[in-house]
Amino acid sequence: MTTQSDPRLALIGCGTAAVELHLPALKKLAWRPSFLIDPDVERVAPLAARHQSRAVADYMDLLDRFDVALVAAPHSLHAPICCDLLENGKDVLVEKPIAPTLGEAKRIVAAEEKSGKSLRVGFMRRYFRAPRWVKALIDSGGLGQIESFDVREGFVFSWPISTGALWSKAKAGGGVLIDTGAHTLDQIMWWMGPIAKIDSYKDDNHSGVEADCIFELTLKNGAKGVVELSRTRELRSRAIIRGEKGSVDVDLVGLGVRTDPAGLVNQTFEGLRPDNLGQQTIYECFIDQLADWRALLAGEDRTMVTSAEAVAGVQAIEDCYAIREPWTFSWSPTAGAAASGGSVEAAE
Amino acid sequence: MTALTGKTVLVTGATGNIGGRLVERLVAEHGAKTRTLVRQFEKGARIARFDVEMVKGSLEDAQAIDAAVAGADVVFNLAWDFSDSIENNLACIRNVYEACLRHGVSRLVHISSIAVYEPFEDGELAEAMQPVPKGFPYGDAKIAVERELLCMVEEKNLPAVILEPTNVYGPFAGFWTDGVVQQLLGGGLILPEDAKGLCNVVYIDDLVDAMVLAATKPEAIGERFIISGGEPVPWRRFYQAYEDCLEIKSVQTMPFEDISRQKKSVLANLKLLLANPRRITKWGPAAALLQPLKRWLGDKAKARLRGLYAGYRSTLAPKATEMPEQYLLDLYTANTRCRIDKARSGLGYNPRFDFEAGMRLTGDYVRWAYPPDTHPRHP
Repeated sequence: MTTQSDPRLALIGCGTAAVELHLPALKKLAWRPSFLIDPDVERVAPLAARHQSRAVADYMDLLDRFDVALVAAPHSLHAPICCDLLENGKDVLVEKPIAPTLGEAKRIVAAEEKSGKSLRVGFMRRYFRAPRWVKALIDSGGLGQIESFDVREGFVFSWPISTGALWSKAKAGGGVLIDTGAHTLDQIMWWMGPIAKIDSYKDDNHSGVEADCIFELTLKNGAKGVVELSRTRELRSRAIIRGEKGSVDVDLVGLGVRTDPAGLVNQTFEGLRPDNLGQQTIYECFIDQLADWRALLAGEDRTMVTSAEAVAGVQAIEDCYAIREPWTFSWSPTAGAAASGGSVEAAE
Repeated sequence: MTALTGKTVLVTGATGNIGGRLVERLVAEHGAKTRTLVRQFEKGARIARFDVEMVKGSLEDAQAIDAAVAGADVVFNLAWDFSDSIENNLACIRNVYEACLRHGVSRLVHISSIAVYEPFEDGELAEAMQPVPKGFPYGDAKIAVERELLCMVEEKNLPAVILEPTNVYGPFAGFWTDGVVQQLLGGGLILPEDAKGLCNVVYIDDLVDAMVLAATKPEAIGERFIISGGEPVPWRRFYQAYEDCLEIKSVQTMPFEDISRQKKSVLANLKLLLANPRRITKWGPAAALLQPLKRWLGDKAKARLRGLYAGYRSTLAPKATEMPEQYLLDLYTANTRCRIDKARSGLGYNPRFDFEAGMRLTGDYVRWAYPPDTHPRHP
């Protein structure tokens, strides 16, 4: 049951993430949202009834009836919604990416600064224990100076989305880079520090949004790396980070950690050690994230991703798209003359 | 500039393996205004790379189909529910052709299957052989749909063409590429050592070429065309080509009698079931129970279950070495050559990819899609 002290919450955007993750996590925390805001009120009404909430089409009609908002709307709506909310005195937790373009992300930061309210960005992967242990290992100097990294992440997309918003350039802002890549880039910067430069970027987009991409980047500490992302292939979904003293191979979403030398795994940070990470699901990460946000709103000290931090990821994504080159393969449609002797580029 | 440039084209089943490739080429090579009927948005990643319109709906939804067909010059019908009954598949095709007739579509290209002729007999196979239902749910449903369409051509001047592709392989081609690779990587497969059968295959782009020809040749209306590559290949060679791409040895051979004995062994079947619980769906009584349950569950719940299953078991997880299903044993032993003379003369179809050429590109795809560090036995 929602307690007297819990801020009145509006959940804005009731697509699959809200249904599958946010609402169950809120229920677990006994934090009942006052309103479920979505233009498709008819679809959302039964959901609202199940969560003892109310389905409403527009938050602007309710500004005096909620205090804080969790935004899980299509990416293109993040900036207008977040700016509205901040300007009207609401604290906000917005799903990643903070916005699809740098201009919009900066507009949110400016609105936050002007409002005096807080905006945090949902990067729930930071709650996974294995990546947290790796962060502590790197911070402790256990790997020494980071020299290189290799991150491959992919799965055959099967998230049960209810609309085509994610497939629309106008609504999503891009494809796998802006969606999965927002997480991946956040993890890279969280572990190893800011990005200096995107050195190359290729994707398979033709006139829509990319399903596969690959890019090379250099960090400000000099480390160089490669990132490959896919919505069509099951890649290893791990990061390999190499430092002057050793390397670590960690699940991006999961609990697997391997190190070289093997003895590195015997170190304990914040009570975590790779052999005692237990079980952990994505859903539990959402619970932890929402619990942190509630504590933060109550004035407790919690570390969550700020708008300024999230802007760095949007900058990297925009830098990638700015130098985009097509990722073509021997079987690409435009190389259809292959059998009759056409020139083709070998697959990488 | 091609005959489809600037035309409005509807593709059903566009998020499937063949449909995805058709969409790519319709947009990239033909400049067609491409609309897709999409039942499950989550399967749309490949076609979302292109500027295509996605209309939400399934073939069961007459209203959605009507809206999707409105304004289309050509309709490619690839959507198919393998688990559905003949009656439901017929109801779906009726929704499609009635909308085509209502909106004056100039061509309906329906993708059927060479399975309408199964079980194959030794010798040459051509369209002159009339498909006859033989008690196989998939083939019989395909035959029923073909007959209904040909009837509508006669009765209502439906401008329909039917293509009957053999085993389709190539990038993202599904069962005969990704399915084979996943089985070879996961647990290997077994071939009868005395198999004399031939594998009739078509590279995915040859099939797409035939589909485009079927959409544009006036004389094709009302006809069925077998679409295959050049020469068939022995089954061992077909699988060997994938082993070579992956640089593994994963095909075992076994005497036919031993395979039959293993397939009847309760203990062997129990072991396979424990290794892959999803096999329960292949057991007749379970399948009969699951079919109405799947319909009742709806797409959303099915997607959620699939997600849960995927979390439990990756497609690249180690698998048990499967005994071939009966239909595969029949294929492995049938020395059948599918003729494409009718497609050559009636459509102007001329396959561009012999097996070597097709497998060169397929190999590039396989190495890209299944890098060594994802292989189940990778250290």
